[in-house]
Amino acid sequence: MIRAAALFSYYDLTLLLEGFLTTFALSLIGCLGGFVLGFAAAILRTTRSRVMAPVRAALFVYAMFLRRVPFLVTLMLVFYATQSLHANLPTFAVASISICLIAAAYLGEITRGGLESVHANQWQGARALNFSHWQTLRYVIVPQAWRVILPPTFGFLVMIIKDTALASQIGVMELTAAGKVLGNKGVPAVLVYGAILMLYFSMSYPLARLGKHVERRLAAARNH
Amino acid sequence: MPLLEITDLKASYGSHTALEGITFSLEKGDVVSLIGPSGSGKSTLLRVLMGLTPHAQGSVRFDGRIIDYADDAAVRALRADVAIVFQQYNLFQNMTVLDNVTITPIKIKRWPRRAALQHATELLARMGLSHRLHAYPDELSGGQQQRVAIARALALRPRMLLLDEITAALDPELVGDVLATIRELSGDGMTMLIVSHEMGFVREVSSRVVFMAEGRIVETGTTQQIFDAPLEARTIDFVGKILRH
Repeated sequence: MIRAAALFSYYDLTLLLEGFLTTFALSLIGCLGGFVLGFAAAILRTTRSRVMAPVRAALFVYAMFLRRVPFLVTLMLVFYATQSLHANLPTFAVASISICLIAAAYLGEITRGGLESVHANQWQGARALNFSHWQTLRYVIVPQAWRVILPPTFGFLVMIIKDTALASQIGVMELTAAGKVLGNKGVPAVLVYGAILMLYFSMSYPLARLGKHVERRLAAARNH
Repeated sequence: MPLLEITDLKASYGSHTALEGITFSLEKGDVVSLIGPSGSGKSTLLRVLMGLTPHAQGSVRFDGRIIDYADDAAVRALRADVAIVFQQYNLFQNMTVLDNVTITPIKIKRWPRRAALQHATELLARMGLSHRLHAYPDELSGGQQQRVAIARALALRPRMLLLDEITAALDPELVGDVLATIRELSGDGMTMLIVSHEMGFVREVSSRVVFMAEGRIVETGTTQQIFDAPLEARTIDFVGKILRH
């Protein structure tokens, strides 16, 4: 144990910690950004007015394309698009934007499915009582949809943590990239990747637990 | 002046004509029943009146005002005066009995909370549901759910009630309680337009009966006339079949 610890220099540990924090930040931004954007997209797609038709069409196309393209491709696309616009964004920002875009596409579809799972007579009942579209969503539809939305949402969020590893492809020094550097430096690979495994787990496990907790709290709403 | 006056109403689903030439009116305190075979347009008519289904032509007047169904504010004003109870209750599954009844007065109408709660509690007591205020809809029997739905409609103090086959989804032994509630409301002078297949009940509570078939009104008359001395062949046929049961 002491020998193993000695294999990591102070520099190595700092690198690993930085990688961990970067992965954590990317995951957090991806989860929150993706959830907020995806939720908004799903809500906008419940509208019925003609004015909103182009927005609905755009969101439909967006969700369809992004879910059919490998994450790496989206990442490269955002990377080169921002480069060609001379936006000169840091790679961390590029990775954050990409993760949010992809998470929004998936979580938007999950949320939409949840909203549509609520029986049509709930909409009708609310309409007859003069609820507006937004009031119906807020008081009636969304509370009943959580039950369907939450389990796959947290499943996807855990996957997002793993997918942040792809950010290393555009030069973000996140956890997996840090592992590669340490491996190249000669730190035993099993040790490095064992440590990385534990670090990924230390993020995804609490998130999965949080998911269960939130499901129990919010999904307590009765539904048929 | 009639409270509700329907003139030459027409509605269609695609090429199928659901309603055609519907004309009749209700005075305040009237209880009118719509009867007729399935698919004759009775429920569609109630949905059109509530602005839940669009209609192609004709006019609806409530309390003297013509309702412009294209105007959101006008439809909302109408729904403030006319409440509907559905066959499937349509109670909000995520809310308790009390919340189902109070949410519209409190959150949508912004009436004072305390008064809304008190009114809801009274209504639910009247429905015999005082012991189930904090139950969720799926913990109740169908008959109890339907009485909650009636209380929810009454919580808005409507001037008229539309009842859309409210006993059709209930087990036979549960029908009685719901009908007793409606009977009581009619006794209180509530104006009601009822779609029902419970002929004994229709006969008992209605002042007038409208017989519909294939989207049209075949015959309108007093309850006694429609049941005892119908004039049209189709009415005779329908009533005859039903009374033989």
